[in-house]
Amino acid sequence: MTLNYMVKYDARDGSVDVAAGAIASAPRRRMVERLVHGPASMSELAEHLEITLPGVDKHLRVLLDAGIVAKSKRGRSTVVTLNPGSLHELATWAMSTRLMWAGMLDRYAATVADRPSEDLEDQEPR
Amino acid sequence: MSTITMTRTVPTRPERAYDAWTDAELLATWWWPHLPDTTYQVDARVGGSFRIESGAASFGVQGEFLVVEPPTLLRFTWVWLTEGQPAAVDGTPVVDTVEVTFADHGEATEVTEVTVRHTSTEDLVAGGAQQGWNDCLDRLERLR
Repeated sequence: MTLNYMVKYDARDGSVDVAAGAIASAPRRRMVERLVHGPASMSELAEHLEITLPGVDKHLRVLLDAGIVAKSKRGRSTVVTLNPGSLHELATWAMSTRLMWAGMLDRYAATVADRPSEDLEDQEPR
Repeated sequence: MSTITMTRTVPTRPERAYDAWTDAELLATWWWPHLPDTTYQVDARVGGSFRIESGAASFGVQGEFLVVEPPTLLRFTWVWLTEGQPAAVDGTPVVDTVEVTFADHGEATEVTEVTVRHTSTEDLVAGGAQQGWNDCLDRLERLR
């Protein structure tokens, strides 16, 4: 709930939404993490993620649409590169102090709610 | 100078809402539970200090308690640590201030309104806090 509110509240335009949606997937984040180290071919990505080529293609399309990666032909193979700075706005938003406190206080409220008063008092040191 | 204010209503009495901030064991249950190597040192006395740090994440926060009034008010300085080093801009340390208030929620004694007010010389909206990143991704993942 907080997140939905935050997105509407803080994002100046759609770019944060698009970037956030694109990396809201573990395989796509691993793909981005791999590309941080340099360009990769489709088959290298498939190997790295341990998924099929069609699987790579599916995820790649989302990252392409979001402008996070670019595809180019090098000879007969396709090379995928990261677009520098494409995640900058998302990172800026995510690292905001407001979001940090939102996350911390949500956990705080949930933790205090989960533990009846007695439990808080009697809790064994860990 | 920028200030962020956030409020949550928690279903417990102010004393226990307060303890969850000053007792290191309780703090550890909610502060950065997703960073299990985090260490918590809290000396909640005026002039006492706190230091919360995750080696794995290479960040943390430290500060000094300025006002300690259980169970209604805490005020402390707040200095980000990156790889153990205090945050600084052009060599000058960035010392924020955080105030946490615990208010009885009207007639319901088992409900406390907790408000965090974070003030900084830096632009809090544009950055400074590293922590949100992981939370953000985790939450996004869950939305799908």
